[in-house]
Amino acid sequence: MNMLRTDAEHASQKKRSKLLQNASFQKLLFLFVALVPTFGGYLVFGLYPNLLSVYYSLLDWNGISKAKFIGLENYGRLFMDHYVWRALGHNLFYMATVPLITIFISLVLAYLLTNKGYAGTAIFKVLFFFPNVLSTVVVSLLWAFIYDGSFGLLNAFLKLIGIDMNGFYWLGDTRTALAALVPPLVWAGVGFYIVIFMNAMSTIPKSLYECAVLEGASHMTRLFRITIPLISPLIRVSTVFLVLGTLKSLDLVLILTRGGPAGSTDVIGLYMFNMAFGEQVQNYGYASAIGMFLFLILVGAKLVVDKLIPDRGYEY
Amino acid sequence: MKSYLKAASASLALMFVVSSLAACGSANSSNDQTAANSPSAAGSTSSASAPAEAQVYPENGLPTDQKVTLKVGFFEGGMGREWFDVAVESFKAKFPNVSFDVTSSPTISQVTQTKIGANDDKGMFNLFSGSIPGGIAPYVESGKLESEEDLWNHKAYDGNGKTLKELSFNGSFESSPRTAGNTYAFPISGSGSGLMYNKALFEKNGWDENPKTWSDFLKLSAEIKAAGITPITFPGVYADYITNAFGVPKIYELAEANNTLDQVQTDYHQFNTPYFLAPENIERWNRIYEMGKKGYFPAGLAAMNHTQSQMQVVQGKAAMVSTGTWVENEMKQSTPEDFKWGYMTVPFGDQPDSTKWTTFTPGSGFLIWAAKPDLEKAWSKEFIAWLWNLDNQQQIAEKGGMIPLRSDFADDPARLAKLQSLPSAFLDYAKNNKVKMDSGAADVQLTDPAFEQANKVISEAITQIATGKQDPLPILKEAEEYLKKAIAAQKK
Repeated sequence: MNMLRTDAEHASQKKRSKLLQNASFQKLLFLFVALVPTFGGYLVFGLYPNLLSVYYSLLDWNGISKAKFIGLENYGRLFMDHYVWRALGHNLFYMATVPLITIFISLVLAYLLTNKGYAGTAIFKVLFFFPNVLSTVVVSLLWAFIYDGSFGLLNAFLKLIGIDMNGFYWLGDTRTALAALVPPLVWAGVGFYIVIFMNAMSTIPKSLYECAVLEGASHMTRLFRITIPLISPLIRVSTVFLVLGTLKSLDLVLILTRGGPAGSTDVIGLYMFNMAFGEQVQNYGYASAIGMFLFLILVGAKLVVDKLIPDRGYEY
Repeated sequence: MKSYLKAASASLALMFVVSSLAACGSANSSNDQTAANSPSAAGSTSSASAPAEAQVYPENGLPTDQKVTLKVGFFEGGMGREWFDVAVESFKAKFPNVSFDVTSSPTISQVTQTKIGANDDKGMFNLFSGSIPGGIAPYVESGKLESEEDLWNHKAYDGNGKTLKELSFNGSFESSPRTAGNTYAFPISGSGSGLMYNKALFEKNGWDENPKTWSDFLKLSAEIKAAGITPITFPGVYADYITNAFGVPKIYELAEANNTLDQVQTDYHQFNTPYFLAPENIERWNRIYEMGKKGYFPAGLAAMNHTQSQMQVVQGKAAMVSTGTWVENEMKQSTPEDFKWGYMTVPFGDQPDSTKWTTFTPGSGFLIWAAKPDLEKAWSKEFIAWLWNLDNQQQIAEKGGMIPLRSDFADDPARLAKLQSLPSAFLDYAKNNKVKMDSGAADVQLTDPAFEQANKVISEAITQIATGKQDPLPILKEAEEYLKKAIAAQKK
């Protein structure tokens, strides 16, 4: 009897070890081990809450009381809500300005740092990247100080060059607040893209630039004719990140202006946040509907960027 | 090298296993404790120990031999937490079987909300201060919060048999915020709101520190403006701060003068329309607008946060700030040692002897999570009652800068002298004027998004109105429309 069991065990062990030595099984096992934690995390923390939001958007629910199914009523309300459209208008303004300025400044600075051979290139790289390690709160407080009317750096600088702003609060006026948020958004993002573009530019063969120099190409010509076309796939991806990030962002606005003055800097993310976690009212259903609407806008923005910047890569 | 790596990996793995086991062990012990404190356990023990009278505290009838840990979420705001720590220590000394597990933060409401979202009653705080975003009404409706109304009839530990209601400062019982007729965050202190000013600046310029009528007040504002100083400031980023000086009680002041007080109070407690378009409310906003046109509020108002606006007063750039009596404690690190705060309310009446309605909010209370074991809830209530002890009220006043709620607080002049200058100035103002206090809170809560939109219409317009750029009437009309939608949705 014992002998029989031993034989059976031996056979099973042999079978198991054969299976483990099998190349395709090993490959499957590796894929399983590699994918399950990340994909599982994505399912649980990414996809599931998002799908749940679709359901929430059909409810009248404050997150604690009994949910009431109201169909598409939240969406109907959303399209009639002028705050949504006003906030969206501000988002479009940021979408049109922040990515463009960020990409342009990043490209120019990355090109200069890569091709001019400055002595302190590494230091500049760190300095430009520095705002990225600061939290949004710190960035916001720095810019609140810059824009302050009484003791702000901007007014002090303007006074130095002969322009007296008479204690003007840049974030306190409906005419300037929206535009005043663009520089902090650009400043906080530009360093990251400088590093990305510098790394991409360093892979472009020097011979291409040498040829261009021999043929008398200026720096601008080299930037626009050689560098930018060769790293265009990266610029495209960066633009997508920036556009989507700008549409979604609310933290800087929340800290600096809370959407004011008079709603002139309200953005859709902030409006959604206030609807979900408002002081007076919490309505997860309506906030989720705004979230779904924002999701559609993000998909639309991605498609527009794809259309405007074709995916044209060059081999070198 | 490899062997070192192996040894290091083995040590790390060992540490991980040991710490995991330790964690499991501690988790088990905490589970045991929780099980002992579960409602059933508490219930059975109390029934079993009922005959053993020696095992309960004579002061409150709670068992002496059952260990209880109260998890507390503490809002560390302008009051600081020194007073709270003192109260906890004295409570633990008196009742050694009770211990505390305190999490404190200026943004404790976010921690609380996350805990509520986790739907884990065991992990939830027993007691928590600070607000819950969106208000407590939905939680009350769902039975998640324990009513603390019975605490008004709780005998004070040091009150010679008197109840907390009997010992409370005049008007605190009536003006305590209630939801569905019950008190949920039993107040432990009060705060007065209005205009806080730099007393030395007023004395130096000989300005009227107690204007009795609206025209006196306008005269004072004009004098301050003429001296090159902004009369009134407030944090425009959090524009609702204007209501500290120009809040709902000012509507009541106008209503009293118009003999419509009862009607207006009912309308404001119940959200009856006209609400934003009530004549007294229109008048209130028109007055702010008129002041705005005269430049009585700073031009860059909308960009100012709390610190910036309060610093304007400390630096003498503005004379008064619309905020609460907590500002002294909040700003104590930034004010010079000899800086003295003064207090006044904005008089809305025409007669010097007319009633000055003042915002007084009994508050700083702790909410109690209902789904906790009965024994823990009972101890939670005892701790709140403990905070009404005169010693603790003195700590709240002295260290927290708040107004004590015990009416017998002033019986001892030495104790009264412990008040910070601003709460003291508030009480002086109340003593020297005909004052009525009200929190301005409504009895019902609207939960439809249209109500948030109605408030948004107003709060976005505040800085524009206060700088004379926006006529309030169209704004009030728009807000009224949203309010009507919210009320209609609520009735569905």
